[in-house]
Amino acid sequence: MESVQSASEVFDEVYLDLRAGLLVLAASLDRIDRCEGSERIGEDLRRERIGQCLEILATPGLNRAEQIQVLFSDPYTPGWNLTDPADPADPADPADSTDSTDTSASPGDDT
Amino acid sequence: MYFFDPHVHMISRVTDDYERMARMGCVAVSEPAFWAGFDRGSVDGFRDYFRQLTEFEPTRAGWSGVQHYSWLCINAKEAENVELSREVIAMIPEFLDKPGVLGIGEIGLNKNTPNECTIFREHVELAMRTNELILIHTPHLDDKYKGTRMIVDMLLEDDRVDPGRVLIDHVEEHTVGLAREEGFWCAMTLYPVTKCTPSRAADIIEMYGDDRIMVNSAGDWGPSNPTAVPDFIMELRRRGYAESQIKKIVYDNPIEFFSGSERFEFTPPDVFRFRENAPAGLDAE
Repeated sequence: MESVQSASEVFDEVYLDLRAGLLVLAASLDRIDRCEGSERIGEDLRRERIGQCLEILATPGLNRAEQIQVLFSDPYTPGWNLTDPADPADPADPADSTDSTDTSASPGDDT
Repeated sequence: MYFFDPHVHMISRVTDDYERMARMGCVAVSEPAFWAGFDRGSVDGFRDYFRQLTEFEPTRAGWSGVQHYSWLCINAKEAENVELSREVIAMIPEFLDKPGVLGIGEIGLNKNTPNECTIFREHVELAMRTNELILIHTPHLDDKYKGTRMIVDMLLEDDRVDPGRVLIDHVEEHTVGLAREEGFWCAMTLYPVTKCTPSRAADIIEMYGDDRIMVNSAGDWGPSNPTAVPDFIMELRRRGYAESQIKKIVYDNPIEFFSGSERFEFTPPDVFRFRENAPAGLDAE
């Protein structure tokens, strides 16, 4: 189901939303940076990812949303189910995660 | 336009939501079993929950002329209690011959743990043994990509699983391809902040096509919108799509997938007679 709109039509349609979104992003980063302790935020993996997202946005392509989704994802190990899940030393254990940042705390987000 | 919300937790919504949905064109809903916001303490707690899903919710939906279907399971969050999960799985067949029960769901993963995998596989075993459709919950945020791949891996372990009888839900840009390339059905959830917006769901349709895909509100007890499907319909209209193209996603596709259940008895809206189908009213108090 390919788009029936031209690029120009889509750009006209989304321009103000993009502008508004960028301003929200800029203002949020400004707000963080003017608060006490802002220097420590630079060491937070989540802040690093935000910076990487901005690099993805600045790169031409057709799958930037997918790239950003993957950037915000835990790593996956192919073949995890072909090894012994009971082995605590097994790096493919499904509970294994290299990212301790839990961002999924939305209370109703469990449907 | 008539639409089918294939995933909405109406048990968490007020009766007025059924009425609002009906006025916006909703003719049917399917309601998977899910987490109630707290871990239930016994198999009897689930038995009562399944009675509500299969008995009272269809009645309440009927007051607004909405046809109601349901799915049964113990959700991934409570699957950490393996003993209770096994008791619930053993009890589910008591309800599998109830009218409107479409299959096993929403099963899946939450934090991608070994216990969740164990209970997921045991739900799949039940579905295979009883020839039921499967509706799958995929994890949220950082856990989603890994969890969706693990779910697909586990489904492919079992030669009996027909991908055409499995719906993988809550797909987004990075997981929709995983579901579709193996032949599974998939669904996008229109949810504030953490899942798809109507615009991103429309983008995904434009990139991946309109076969074997649907959209839902997953309206529940948290911040959510049970009339999100009409928002998606409006988004596609604004983009210039024909009504027939939109109808395929919000009406035809759910019906095609759910028709895989022998208990899916659906009366199309052009022949549905409200007065004959609406149950007698009840006072809440």
